[in-house]
This record gives sequence, C-alpha cells and structure tokens, in this order.
Amino acid sequence: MSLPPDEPHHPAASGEQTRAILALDRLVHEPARLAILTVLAEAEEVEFRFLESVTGLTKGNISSHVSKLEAAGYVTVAKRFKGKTPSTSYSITSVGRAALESYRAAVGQLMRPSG
Amino acid sequence: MFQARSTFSGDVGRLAELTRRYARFSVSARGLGSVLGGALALVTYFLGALVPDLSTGGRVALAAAPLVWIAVKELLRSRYYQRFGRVEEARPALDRRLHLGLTLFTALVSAGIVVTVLVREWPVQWDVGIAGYLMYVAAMPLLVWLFMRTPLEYVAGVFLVAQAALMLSGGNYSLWQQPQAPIGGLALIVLGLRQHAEYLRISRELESLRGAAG
Repeated sequence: MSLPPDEPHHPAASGEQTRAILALDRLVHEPARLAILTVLAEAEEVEFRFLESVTGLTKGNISSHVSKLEAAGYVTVAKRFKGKTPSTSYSITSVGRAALESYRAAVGQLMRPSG
Repeated sequence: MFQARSTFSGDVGRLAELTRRYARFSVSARGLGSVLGGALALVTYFLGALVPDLSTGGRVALAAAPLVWIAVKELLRSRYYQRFGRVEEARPALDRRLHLGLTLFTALVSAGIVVTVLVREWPVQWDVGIAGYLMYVAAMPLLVWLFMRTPLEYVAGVFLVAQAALMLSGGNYSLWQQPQAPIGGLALIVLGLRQHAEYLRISRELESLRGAAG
C-alpha cells in the first residue's frame, strides 16, 4: 500500500518537527501558564483578581503556576495593601516576554505546512 | 489552541485582546469620567463667559469643578472601570513622551505665570483670590502629570484648572478667548460615551468568562 500522492512522507521533516516540539519551552507550553503569560504580556501590571476572572483558573492554580514562572524569572510579584485589604499584582519580565515570543514563533513555525 | 482548561473555552488571542481592551480603562480610556470632564468644560466655559457677575457661591462652584472632575473620574476608574481587578495599561512610548512633553510645557508656562504675578504684585497683598489663583497655577503641572494623560483630557482639564484659578481671583474668560475648551469638551463627551459602550461590551465578555468558570 502506497501513500497518496498529495500527502508526501518526509521523514527528515518529521524528525525536525519532533525535535522542534521537544524543544518547546515546557514552562510556557503548559496551558494555564501560557494563559497567564499571555495576559501579563498585554499590560504593565495585572492584579490577581483579573487573572482569576479572565482565565477562569482557581486561586490555588494561579498561585502555583505563578510561583513556577516567578522561579524561572518570567514574572515578578508585588504584594501591597489597599487600605486594609492585601492585593497581589504580577508583571511579566523581559525574560518572560522573550520566552513567550520565542514560544509563539516556534509554535507558528510548527503550524506552517511543511514541504 | 488553548483548550486544556475546562474553565476557559476561548483562545489565547482572545485573552490577549480582552486584557488589552480592559487595561485601557486604567489610563487612556475614562468613559463616564471623560463625559463628566467634557460636560464641565462646556458648562463652565459658557457660564464663566456669559455670566461675568457670578455670585461668590457660583465662583467657588466653578473653582471646584476641576477637583470634582478629578475625584469622580478617579473613583469611577478604581470602583467601576477596574472592578474585575486592576490592570495597568502598557502605554506606547509615543503616548508617554507626549504626556511628558505636555507636562513639561505646562510646568514652563505655570512657572512663568507664577513668577510674573509675584513680580508684578510685589509686595504681595495676600488674600484668598491671589493665593487660590497662584495655588491652582502652581499645581497645574502636577495635575496634568497625574490626571490628564490624553490630549483631550489635557485640553479640557487645563481649561478647567485655568478657569478655576481665574474665578478665584475674580476674573473670567470672554466668550471666544478659549475656543479649544468647548470643542475639546464636546469631543471628550463623544469619546467618553463610546468608551463607556466599549466597557459594557468588555464587562459582558468578562462576566461570561466568569460564568463559564463557574
């Protein structure tokens, strides 16, 4: 049985794609973290409450993912008080922005039809 | 693309767009705050010009207009337009430079006016009128820096502050002396109404996301 003529099989290209997929930044690739970084990339600073509203993630999920992003130097966390109420805000760092951009570029490359 | 979370059914492009639109309401879009600023600029312009013999109460009311506007628009921003959480807009470099330029220009003009008045009136016989006038003029650059971040806000806001200073000193602008004020005021009202309609759309989208998340 042979492959249909309009779907050529390129083992070299497929190997490259696999390598490209494996090279994706896994910290960014995780959907919740991708959502968080995407939101942060669009503003100077984002309060916790907005992240919760716009992503639909739970408080615990946001905290745990942000901790990982913070440990990698992708985001910074600022804790303040509004009167007596504590408020937590996040900003993306230049390292985080670069990681998000290169992730988008890599995914864009993968989505492009090969050969 | 982003479908692994059961709580969020959209894509990252929509997330980015929604965040960008919402963030504008922290700095460059003021919605009903702009409508109020525009309305105050229009009302005080015609009242100041057409009723030169205003009572003391009327003058104090016009002098308080910029403070009322600033207080209300800041309250609207923090309590209404950012009620889903504060998101500070990432403003383009050009906007920031323009704002800085307008502030420096205002500082230069304000300093010139304050020095001129002090030299001309020296030794100054301090009363509420001259003290209030100089205070408003001296505070203008700070008010511009903190609260008038778009060109239209600048046009209407500077007029309101200048009119307030003049009201305290007993003077008033004539009808065609500051034509930019009613034009800027009108434009600010139209813009503010459009921004408010846009906010209602954003708000509905955020509510639906929140609803979907349960």
